[in-house]
Amino acid sequence: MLKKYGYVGLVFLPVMIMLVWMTEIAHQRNQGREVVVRLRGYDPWDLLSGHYISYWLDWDNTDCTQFEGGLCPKLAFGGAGRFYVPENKAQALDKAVRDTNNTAEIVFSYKEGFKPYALRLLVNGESWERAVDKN
Amino acid sequence: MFKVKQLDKLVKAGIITAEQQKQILSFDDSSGGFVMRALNLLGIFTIGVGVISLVASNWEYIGDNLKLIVMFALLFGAAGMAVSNKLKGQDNRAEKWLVVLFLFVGAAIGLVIQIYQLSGNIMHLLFALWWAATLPLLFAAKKKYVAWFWVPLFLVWYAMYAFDYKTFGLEKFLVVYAALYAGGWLLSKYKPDFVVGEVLRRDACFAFYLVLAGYILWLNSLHLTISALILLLTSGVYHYFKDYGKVRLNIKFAGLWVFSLYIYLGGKIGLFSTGIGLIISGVLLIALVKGVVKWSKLIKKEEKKNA
Repeated sequence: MLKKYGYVGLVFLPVMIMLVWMTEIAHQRNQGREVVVRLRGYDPWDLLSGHYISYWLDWDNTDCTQFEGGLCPKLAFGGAGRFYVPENKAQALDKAVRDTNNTAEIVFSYKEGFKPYALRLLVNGESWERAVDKN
Repeated sequence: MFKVKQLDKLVKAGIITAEQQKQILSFDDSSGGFVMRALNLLGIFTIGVGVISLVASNWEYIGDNLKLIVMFALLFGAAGMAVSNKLKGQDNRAEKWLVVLFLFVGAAIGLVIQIYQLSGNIMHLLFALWWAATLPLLFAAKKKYVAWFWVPLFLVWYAMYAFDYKTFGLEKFLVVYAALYAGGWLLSKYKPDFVVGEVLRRDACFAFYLVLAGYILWLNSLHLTISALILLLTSGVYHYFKDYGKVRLNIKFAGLWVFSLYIYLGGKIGLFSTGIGLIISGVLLIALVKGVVKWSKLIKKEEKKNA
């Protein structure tokens, strides 16, 4: 009997680990408050890679007053990141983000001492999907 | 060959015991030969990849919550099927479902990374979490199927880890892969039921020699000295344990070592820039090949004598 339960435990353990991991991420994302960070310095060879775009954060043009003490926590965010989009929309988004007339930003969920999570990508203040559909 | 329901009737009639039913099903399950089992496994792998690509290509039309629900339904489904088959005594099918579960966990990690827009060292996260989360499956498995996938994943993850965290140094790879090889060897010797030992021993050995080849060909005096010590030391160990196949492998690597030394020294003393130097080089190369062949034959003779 113990052997049987042991087997069941071992087989379901990976599923439980996945459940705990996902719940923890969802929980941390909900804990933070929303902050908006500008994007910059797109690497033309790396920006578009299939179904995600690579970005650099533009701290020079980001409003640091939204953070505690008016200081941008650059280290916590890191310099670069990825934003996943459907493959068939990636090219259009790439074009929209590269356009110097457009302003691209990412809304993060951020809590001091925790890892920031990207929530939405905005182009000219509206969702990237709408900006892409317009073009 | 045998139907579960028919066997159930035989058990109820008292013709066979429940234990015999399990034995019959287990026998029935394991029949089919290596090619059929390999094809079966390939079929499962293809279905797994198919499901992943089907979800991936249509993911924009599916809401995030639904994606996560489907993902967990697949994970629980695969785990449930493994358990259900195991309880019915169909061990071979249960093992295949463990492989499916292993693949689904990898796909699920990728999906969570995308849905929650996780950044940073994604490949490292994917590989590390994948092998860590599926580690319990190795303890549940009685066949090598899961280990065939898990062990290479773990070895590749380690290589990525060493590169990513600037701890790169071929010596570290050699030490870790040698330790894993030794671990695999000990497991396969003292815990033969824990099938991962044999796979770990084979794969870690392959990884060790792959790195050693690169290490020897680095054309550097320190690398040549360390690799000579490694070859001497391991040859002694293999010889002690009468693992003649590995001794022969070391002889081939000794040939590679001499070749590397020759290129290294030849470059230093300008052996390749004169006619005489080239003739000497050619003679040395032929002697090297003959030496390796002769040495290997000697070991084979000793192996036959001890057989």
